Amino acid sequence: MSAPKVFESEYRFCLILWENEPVSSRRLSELCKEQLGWSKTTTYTVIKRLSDRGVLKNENTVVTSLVSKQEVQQAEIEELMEKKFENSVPAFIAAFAKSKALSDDEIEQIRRIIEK
Amino acid sequence: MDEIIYLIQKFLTFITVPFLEIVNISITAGWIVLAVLVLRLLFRKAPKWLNCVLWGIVALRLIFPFSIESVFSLIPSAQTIDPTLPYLNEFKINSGIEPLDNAVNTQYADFVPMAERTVDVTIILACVWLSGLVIMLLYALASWARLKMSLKTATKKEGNIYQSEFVQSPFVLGIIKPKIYIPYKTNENDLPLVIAHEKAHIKRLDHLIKPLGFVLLSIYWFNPLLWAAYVLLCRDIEAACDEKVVKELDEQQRRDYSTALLNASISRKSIAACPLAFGETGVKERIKGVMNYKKPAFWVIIAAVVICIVTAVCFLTNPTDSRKIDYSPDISPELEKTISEEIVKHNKGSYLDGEFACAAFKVLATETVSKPDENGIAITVYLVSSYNEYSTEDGKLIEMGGNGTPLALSFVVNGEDSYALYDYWEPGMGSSYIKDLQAKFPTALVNKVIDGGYSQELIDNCKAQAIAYFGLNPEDVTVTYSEPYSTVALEAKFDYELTVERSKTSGVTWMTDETFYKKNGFHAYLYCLDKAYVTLGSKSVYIGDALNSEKLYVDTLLKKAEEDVKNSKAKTDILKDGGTKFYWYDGYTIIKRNTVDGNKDLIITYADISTTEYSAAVKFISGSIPTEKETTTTAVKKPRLIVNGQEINANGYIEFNKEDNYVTLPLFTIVKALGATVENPTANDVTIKYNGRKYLLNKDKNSLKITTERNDFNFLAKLPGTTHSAECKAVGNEFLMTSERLSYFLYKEFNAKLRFDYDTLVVRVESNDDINGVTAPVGYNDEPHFDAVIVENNGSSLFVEAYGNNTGIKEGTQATVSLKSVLSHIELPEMKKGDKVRFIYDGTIQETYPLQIPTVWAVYELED
Repeated sequence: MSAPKVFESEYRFCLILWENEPVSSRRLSELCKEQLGWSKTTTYTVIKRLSDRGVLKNENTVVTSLVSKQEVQQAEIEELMEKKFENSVPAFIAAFAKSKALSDDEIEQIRRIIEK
Repeated sequence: MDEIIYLIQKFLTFITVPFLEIVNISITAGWIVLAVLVLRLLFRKAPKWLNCVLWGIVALRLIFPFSIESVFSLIPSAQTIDPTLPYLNEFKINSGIEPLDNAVNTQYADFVPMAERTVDVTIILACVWLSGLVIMLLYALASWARLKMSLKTATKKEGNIYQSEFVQSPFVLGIIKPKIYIPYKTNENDLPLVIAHEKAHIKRLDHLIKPLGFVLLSIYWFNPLLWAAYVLLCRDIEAACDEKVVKELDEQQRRDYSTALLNASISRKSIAACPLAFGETGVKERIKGVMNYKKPAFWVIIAAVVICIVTAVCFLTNPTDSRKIDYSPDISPELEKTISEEIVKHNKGSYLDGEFACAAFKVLATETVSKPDENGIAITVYLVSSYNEYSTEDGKLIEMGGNGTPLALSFVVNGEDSYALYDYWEPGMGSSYIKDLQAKFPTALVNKVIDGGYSQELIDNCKAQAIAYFGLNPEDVTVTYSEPYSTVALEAKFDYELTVERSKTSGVTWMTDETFYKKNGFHAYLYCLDKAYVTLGSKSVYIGDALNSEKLYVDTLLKKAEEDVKNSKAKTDILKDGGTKFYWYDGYTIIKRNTVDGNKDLIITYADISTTEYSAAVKFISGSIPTEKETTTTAVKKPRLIVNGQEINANGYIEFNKEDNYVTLPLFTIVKALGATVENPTANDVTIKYNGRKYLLNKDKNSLKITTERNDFNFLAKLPGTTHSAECKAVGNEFLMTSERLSYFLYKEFNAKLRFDYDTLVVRVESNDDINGVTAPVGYNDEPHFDAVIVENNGSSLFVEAYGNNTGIKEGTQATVSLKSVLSHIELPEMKKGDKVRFIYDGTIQETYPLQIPTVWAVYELED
């Protein structure tokens, strides 16, 4: 089963959650206020939304994640591959190489990965 | 319901005033926009902030209705459309460009002559404007709220910089605490440049300027020039902002900045939709601008500043009157004395000769004018004045008459403090008043004068002068008011003359006051006349005063007119609209407007007025002057009817054939009294729908047919104790009624009280609506009737002896007439022995001795 879809802003929220879990929703809202500039209601809305989507659970005002950071990253990459590169790894790498000026070292590294 | 309609009407009229102001401001602002467009083209090389400042000048003009005047003003006219337009009787523009004015004004003169229409059109336009404004603002608010909603989850990057997946390209949002929103995907290299750009926006206060621009655009949405201005403003803001950022950058950084611009602007649809946020607009030009940026030379900056100042002076001020007007003049005691004397001299003799006459005035401005004939100085003094005449009686102060009016007095100045009057100007009466004032007085004074804030002060001043003159104790002075003249009451005599003065413009003067209206139920008007005086002996009195003070009755006026017709001094004619009567004199025309809604206005107008012109006058009167009457009739939708191919007049009534002595039955009265609706008017028939029943009025048959869908239709015009109920019986679901029964129907259906006079039927409709009496010939010639002399009247019955040729009863026959049988709704005349009367009865005679007449419909008194 692939991990549920998490949007960028929600991902930022999840980063805080992963770092601090298990965490009370109150503390979480304080952290979000501090680090994301979110209002309390926004935080609670996002908690509700993500718990509906099965990303986290909120029991007795204690929030814990149900999905790990790696799972989310994996899912993101899979989606990207599927959507934009028709699951073609070379296309993906080509695009990646174009967008970023790669140093010779980096090119060498990538070449080695591909050759393996 | 009526109240709601009234309030809506009030509101609609209310919004036309700001609307016309807005239109005027928008037109003047349009001139500036054109100027700015030209300047932008001429000074393409100038720093971009110059453009923003120029738009600022446009905004200032839109926000503040400037009244500063300057000779440098390049605005052709500050008031293209007169804000008092709804009260004027013609549409006229004054754009300051003569050929345009001429073209528009002659165009309109042909087909929009009525004040009524300008009011209507203005109201409609004002409504359209208001709806547009509301839609624009709602749209802005809605899109702002939506954007704000989606930005809730935006995560803080640092300080006031936020990131969100819903952001496609960077922008600033917020009025008090503006925040910068950027997409997550922003290229790391671009980031500092993008942020620098947005921060520059905030520093420049663009996040305030742009919403303000949009609010102004919402108000002036109907002006396409301002849409252009708004679009260009958005571009210029970005360009100026780029300029601010780029100033600090070197060549390579500028290249990077351009790349960042391009990256940021890839998709900007969603932001462009929200007017209160920033979108990146005009990327191509901006990149060009960035790459070509050169630090402006010092002299360029100086030139830009000069351009701004010159533009501001030329376009933020209104054109001056080239007149030399002093608004806070020093008036020498000598001039004051002269003015006072001239006012007294001018008015003396217009009123009852009071023992003491005095004037009080307040000078609003003086104007230096060229002397009419030779070289020298002359001045015109603009003032508001009050003139009063007083007498005393038993220690009481009696105000004998007077007036309060704005004046423009022109004097030739002969050396030191000596003034000779050469022009005494006062405005015309009624609707020409405002127009005259606008033509003569300096614009700045007109509203001051119309407000009339000075009048009480001036009257008090006059009173104080009188108290001092008579040596009365100011503590216990009571003021009583005299009639405008006393001598002989005009109602008894016909030996007065009416003199009038034709006005150059068309307009209605309302002669009579509320008291007159309450007593008489109608008003008297002057149409296209400046003055109308009745003379009595040596006295000449304004006819309005004479009517209001009941020294001259409308009846007297009309009786005299009838007399004059007999003596061939005047001609007369009756309009086929229910009795509007014209009396044509050599110098003027008196019109007695007699219509079914009780509107029996008296109109005095110029000689030879045609009927078409007359209907214009009537429209003018009912359209321009709201009366109590008007508000009650607006609730009823006036039916438009065609009978016998002829259109029924605006008040919508049908006229039955007079020659055949049938009732003139005003359809309007029925419709109004029933609260009915009118449908299917055809050449001869009119159907009135009321309460589930249909009433068909047929012109040819002079009858009323009632039809209904209901089976239990049980309405019979059953006349008590008569056989006529049989004639009225329903056939199927229809039945017919003819004239007399129609009267009964009126009584029965809406409690109309009928009074039979000798030759008229007066229908009084007792209804909550304001319906005054309707007079029409009664149709008794067709009914059985006999004339008789009263022998005895015992209260409940009459013993009479017939005379003359009668139907059914021979001359000399005696009969008993039961008065109980006479219709209860008919008022009987007083009858005593020897009186001659005519009985209208149902034709039934009981052959007893003496004969008995069981059913009498009506009794008329006959003259010997």
